[in-house]
Amino acid sequence: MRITENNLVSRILADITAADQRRMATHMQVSSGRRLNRPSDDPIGVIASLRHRTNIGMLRQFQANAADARDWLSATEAALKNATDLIQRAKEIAVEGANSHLPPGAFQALAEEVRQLRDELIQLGNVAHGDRFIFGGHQTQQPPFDAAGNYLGDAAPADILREIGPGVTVSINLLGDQVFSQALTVFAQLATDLQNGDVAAVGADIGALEGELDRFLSFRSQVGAKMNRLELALQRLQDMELSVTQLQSTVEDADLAETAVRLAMQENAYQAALAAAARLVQPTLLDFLR
Amino acid sequence: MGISFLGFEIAKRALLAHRQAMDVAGHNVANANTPGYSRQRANLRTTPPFPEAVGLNYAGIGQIGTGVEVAQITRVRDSFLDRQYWSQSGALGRWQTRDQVLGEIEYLVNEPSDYSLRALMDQWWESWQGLANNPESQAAREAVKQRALALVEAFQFADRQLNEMRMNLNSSIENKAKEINGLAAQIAALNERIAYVTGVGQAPNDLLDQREQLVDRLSRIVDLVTVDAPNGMIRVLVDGVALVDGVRANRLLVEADPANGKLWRLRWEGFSTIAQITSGELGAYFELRDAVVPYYKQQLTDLIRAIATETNNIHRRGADLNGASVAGTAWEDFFVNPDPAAFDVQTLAVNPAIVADVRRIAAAAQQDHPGDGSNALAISNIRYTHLTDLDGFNTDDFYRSMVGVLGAQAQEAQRMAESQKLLVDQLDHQRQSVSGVNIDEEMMEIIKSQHAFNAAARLVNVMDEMLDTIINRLGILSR
Repeated sequence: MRITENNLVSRILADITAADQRRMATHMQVSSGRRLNRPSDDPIGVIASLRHRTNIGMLRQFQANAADARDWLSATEAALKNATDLIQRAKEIAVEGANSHLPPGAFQALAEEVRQLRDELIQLGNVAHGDRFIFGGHQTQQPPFDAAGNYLGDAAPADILREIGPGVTVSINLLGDQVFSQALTVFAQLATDLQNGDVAAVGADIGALEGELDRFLSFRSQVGAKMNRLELALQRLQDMELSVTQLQSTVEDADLAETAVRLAMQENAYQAALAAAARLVQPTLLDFLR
Repeated sequence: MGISFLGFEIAKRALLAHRQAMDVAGHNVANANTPGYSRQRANLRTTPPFPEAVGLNYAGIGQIGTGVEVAQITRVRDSFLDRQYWSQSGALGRWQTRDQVLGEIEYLVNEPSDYSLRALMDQWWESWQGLANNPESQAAREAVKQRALALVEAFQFADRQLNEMRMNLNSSIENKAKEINGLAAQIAALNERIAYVTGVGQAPNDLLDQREQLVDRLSRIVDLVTVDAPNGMIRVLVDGVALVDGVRANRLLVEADPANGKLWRLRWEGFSTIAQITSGELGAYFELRDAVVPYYKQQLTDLIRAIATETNNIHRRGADLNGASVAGTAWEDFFVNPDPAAFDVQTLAVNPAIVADVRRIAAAAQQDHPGDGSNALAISNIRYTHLTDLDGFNTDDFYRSMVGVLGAQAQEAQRMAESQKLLVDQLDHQRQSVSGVNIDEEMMEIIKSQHAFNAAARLVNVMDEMLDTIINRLGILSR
């Protein structure tokens, strides 16, 4: 092939430009730390990267939901535990009151104490998590029980749901009516029976209180099981976030060591191209004619 | 037996011929860097010998040479390579244009990043989850409102950008059509001068170079075929029409297309049919304006329409924080104007009644249940739903597949532009290899001519001395 001036110059320029472009592309990867900077860099990779990014956002949201659900349930669990203590105490009083040898004034005192316990139980029914009452169904802005212990909240269904996976929800609330109303009735009955000194009736109330203890225990185990499930879910969501983040990094991030080595190689190639050009462009026959 | 002054004549012819050859070499050196220049050669040939026909009245030794002359100054050019170049150049123009515009769309989409439509959609769905967790909270409601406003604004921005891109492509079509007309007129004018010079028996080398350079430029804009015409002229055929026919140039008329939103279409002057240009830069502009950009615009429109329609469908079933069902109220729709029949991204808005009071967002599924976030949860779950409006995709998949298509198209354009450029550059190198100037070579030509010139000058001296001998020294005895 005959080589001409323009040929030489344009070929040298094209080669240098190509070497420069490769160098710049690698430099961009090193400085951004990313292999993918626009969809055409790797269309399949970008689709995967977008999916990972969206998934990471969803996983974080699910973790926030699950953590919120766990907090809500632990507030519920604390209230149920306190309620169990109150029922236990009421049962002790009932056992004491089922004794016909008590002096007459003692019955009044015991009745008064049961009334106090009942008020406390109402307070537990009105427990709030943050600024929300947890036992009123969706009526979270007003106390679910009035001072007399009447339930004002929602009847079933009034589930409060938290999404902990795509389309997977858990109901996190218990309705105060189902949890407390029966116990409040038993407490009121016990107070009345003690007031009347009706030892036989008080004896029957002990059985009712034991029934309540069983019921609360079953609520507590229900809540406990849900908290366990949420803990597991949280752990799983964290693991998934970690692995998706790693996947995203694999797809999106440049291998720094490899890229740096490649950059060094391309720098060399570029400099060699420049040096070669300097040698090629200079001499002509003119330099050797006198 | 020779003629006395023939030697002078031979020397004179040699001096003139080599001077001229040196001028040609000088012209080459002077144009070593001129784009489109083809090197020229002075073709030397012997002048007719004497006598013309041997044997009439001369019984000598035969014909005697009478020296040298420049027969013609010719251009070194391979028209086959020109045709090759012109046939590949249009594809380069097409892919480079596609590459450039698709690159702009890529910057508009801005993926993968945390500042894209996808990021805003993610945040939008997450804000509904936040509201589902805290339906009583004013802050969570504000967040939904803000995300909704940002989402609508971002889709409108992208839509406007794509519209603007279409308008720019439209004016590029007009500009390219004018460029074609300009080039055609120049080629026709050169044809005329070339025909004149050829007619008087000369070689219009530099004019041919200029014309071929114009065809080079034209071939980037649109595919063309050249046909040789008498007197060195060419015909240039584009889209089956003679754009240049000898000294006459046809024109492309730019006119508004009533069937395509008054965007430009092209018509050949004097023809009733519309020009169908699908190649070169101009073809790429048509393709981008009428197919590529509208595709992305339509995908984004479909996406936001589906989001708005589905959100409204579920929102309408819910109850607001004041406890009342939103159905039938002024705020039953979360987005206003998502009319599926005449949907326009630019007029889509978050319901002003909701913007004015976020308590009106229907987070609850049941009336008078302020702590119920299940309707908000249902809205956030739209993102998992496969929607018939989105060809059975969910919103995330639909968007991702659009980005995938964009990536694939842009990558194809990049690769094709790159490989086509290699091909065209290679053809140009071959042309340069044939037609380009090599200074070493020209120096050799100059030195060759210089030596011949010197020798011819010496011949004059020798002839002079010979005649001096005859004229001044012979017959001295009779003086």
